[in-house]
Amino acid sequence: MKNLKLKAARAGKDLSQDQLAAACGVSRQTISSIEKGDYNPTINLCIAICKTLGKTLDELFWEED
Amino acid sequence: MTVGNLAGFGFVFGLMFAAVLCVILFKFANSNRKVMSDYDERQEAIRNRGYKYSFYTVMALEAVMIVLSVSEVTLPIATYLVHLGIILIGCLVLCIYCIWNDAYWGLNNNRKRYTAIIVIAIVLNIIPIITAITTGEISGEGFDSLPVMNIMVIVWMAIIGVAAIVKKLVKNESEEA
Repeated sequence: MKNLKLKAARAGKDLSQDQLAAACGVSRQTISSIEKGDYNPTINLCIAICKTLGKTLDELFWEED
Repeated sequence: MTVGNLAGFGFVFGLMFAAVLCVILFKFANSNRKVMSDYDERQEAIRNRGYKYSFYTVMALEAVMIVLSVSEVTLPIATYLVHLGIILIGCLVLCIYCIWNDAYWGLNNNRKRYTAIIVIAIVLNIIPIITAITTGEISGEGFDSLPVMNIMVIVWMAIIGVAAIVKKLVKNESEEA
């Protein structure tokens, strides 16, 4: 399932995938894979992304029913 | 010391020299001057799977070699070349799987410097081939001469290059918003 919340939060901060990836210490393709729902990140990476985007885990990674 | 022993000694010396050269070149090619490449967690996971498939491939091919050996089937190619071929096929599985899943380049790899190293490797492999062709070594000894190893490596690199180009062409990654 696509993670549109992550994509929206990144766009809200005016960050490119490259910039977010560099801030989190991962490759751009990894951020792209998370946004497309092709890769489930570990909790460490989720926290790094949340800290960079100023969001909570719930806001970015909790799936609403 | 026989000629065979001397050739073996030269081969081992060459491998040791190549290993030292690789360490120096990788240190130069990585942006943080580390010998090893850094990968993120997704890349590590994909590379682990790639190594698994590569392992299965090598095991299967070596099993075939055992069967052929027990059956006393003689191949029209020297045994050391067959084993080199198996190693290269194993590496090919890993490389293509990583290229296809965007896990080939590490986070600290400087692609321009790596490209320069690849070009140097191609030239170093082409020189013995040209020498062997001009001296008639390849046509004389057929598939039992050392320069055939260089040809195999060149073909191997060409396949990886083609895989990288195809990946670039068919990349259907969503563009950034």
